[in-house]
Amino acid sequence: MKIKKLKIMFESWADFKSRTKKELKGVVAGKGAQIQPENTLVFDSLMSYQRLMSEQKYIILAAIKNLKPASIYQLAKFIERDFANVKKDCETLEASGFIVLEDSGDNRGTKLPKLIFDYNVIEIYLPNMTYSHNLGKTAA
Amino acid sequence: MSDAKVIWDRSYILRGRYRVIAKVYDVGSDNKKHPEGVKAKFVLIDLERNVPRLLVDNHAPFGFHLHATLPEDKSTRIRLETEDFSEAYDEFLKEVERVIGNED
Repeated sequence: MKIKKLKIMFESWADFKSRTKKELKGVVAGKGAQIQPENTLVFDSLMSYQRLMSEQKYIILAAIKNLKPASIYQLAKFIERDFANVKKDCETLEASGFIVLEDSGDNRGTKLPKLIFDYNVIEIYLPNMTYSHNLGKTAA
Repeated sequence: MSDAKVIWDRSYILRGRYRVIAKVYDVGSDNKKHPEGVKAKFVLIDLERNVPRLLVDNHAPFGFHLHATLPEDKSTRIRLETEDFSEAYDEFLKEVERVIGNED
């Protein structure tokens, strides 16, 4: 199976501010577009990443990847958790850039949870090491 | 804004609680709301509540302005006394720090 990585990178707030200020000046001056790759999320620290992510959120991601639920309700059933809590976790994962909640097109406003792209590994790039979370079938 | 093209897109998660999303669009030179042809949208999202907390954008007739009382009050705008994208972005980053500081 081909490995498709969601990359978690770290950059200090000071460095982010400095870098993006320079980039913005260049972009407005017409020096070409700069688009963040969809396979990369940038955090200010490992602590920040750990604060956001929990074992339950990894299980949600693995279940979306492997079980392809047709709704958040079905996802909650698959992983045997309370619907309201799963919905809140899904909304946080969407707002953070891990998943999207697509309109399913029915008249009940059902949301279809999907990974932001078809990744199967979350790879965490620390300054001196890299580790990863596999979203394989045993993870859900 | 159907012809808008993203020319700058940055995202950053702070303290595991907030997400900064900064985007700039080329909207073309004949856009009445953006006569300079460029639209900016700088947002701070509260990930725990899943709501926007801050928004800086630019459009006629206000120019650059800040929505600092989101999500409850979307209609209050604080006009930024600049037409410069970098200065508006600076103001946004300062507001982000104010919000984060209030959390401490």
